[in-house]
Amino acid sequence: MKHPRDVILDQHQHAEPRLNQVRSSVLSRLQTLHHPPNTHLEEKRDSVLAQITVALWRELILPCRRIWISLAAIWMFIAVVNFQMQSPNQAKFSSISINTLSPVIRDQLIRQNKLRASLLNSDITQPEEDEIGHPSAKLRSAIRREWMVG
Amino acid sequence: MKVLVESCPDTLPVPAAREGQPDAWDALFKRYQLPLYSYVYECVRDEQTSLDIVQETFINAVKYIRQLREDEKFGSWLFSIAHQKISQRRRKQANEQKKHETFYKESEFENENPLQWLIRREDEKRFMNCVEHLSLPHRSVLLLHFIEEFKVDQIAEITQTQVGTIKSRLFYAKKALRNLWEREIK
Repeated sequence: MKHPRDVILDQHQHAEPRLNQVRSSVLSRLQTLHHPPNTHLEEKRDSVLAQITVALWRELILPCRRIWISLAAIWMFIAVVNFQMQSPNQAKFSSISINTLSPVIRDQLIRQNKLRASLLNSDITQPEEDEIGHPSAKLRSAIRREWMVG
Repeated sequence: MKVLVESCPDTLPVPAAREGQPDAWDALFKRYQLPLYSYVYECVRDEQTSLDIVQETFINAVKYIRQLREDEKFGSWLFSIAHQKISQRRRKQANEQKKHETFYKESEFENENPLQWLIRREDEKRFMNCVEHLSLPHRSVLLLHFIEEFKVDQIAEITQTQVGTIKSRLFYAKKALRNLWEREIK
């Protein structure tokens, strides 16, 4: 007399050699399949660190009003400073008209404008020189030599 | 009757296998390869598919051994992987049969004992024929019960089914098997 277990297993006994092959093929791939327990420990450690960080955030920082008020004050200060620093020259020049300047500065400004205008006019009369020989395109020594020969 | 390793889990080298020792895996595979194959074959009825499923089960066992919490449950865990693989295959083939199940009579079921099912040598083939004629849900429950002597709650874990359903299936599977058996003998 046999137990059903033995009857069932006996029926499949012929598959044993092929099962041995399957077993050996899986065992040969064991190194690639198996993840070492160290990685598990590392994962565990990382998760513990993450949990501690979250706990600190929730328990210490999130409910503390002082931290949030001081942070808000710092942000406000940074915003004000940033606003004031933003393109100061443009802001000043746009707000000042020429009539509000002191006479000395106004004279200096007028003189500078005249000088600039004269310089611009002289640039306009320059093309004659350019046509002669593009002096700017040559070396200074070469120009001097030409002049001495001439 | 063979002494099952499941009944004395201390002999299972699961901790060593968890560390990736080939000898431990070899011992575990050797212990379970034939029961696992028998179970899978009786469910899918195809040799090559059964071998593929056994191989996939072994591979998954190596990959996910970390997820096993209790070492003594290695056997049922391995069978649950195989069962999932069978279900996947069946879903792919779209052959799943769902049979209506009625409530079981617990008193009748409680009196059952696998040892009552003792088969004479000349009746072995007949017995296997009868098992083949059972529906798959009944067959799988009965095989798990016979092959590894898993308890109802273990079979429920393996098949991811409620304990009540397993009790019902086991009861009706035995009843059907007995009817088939009597018909065979007559």
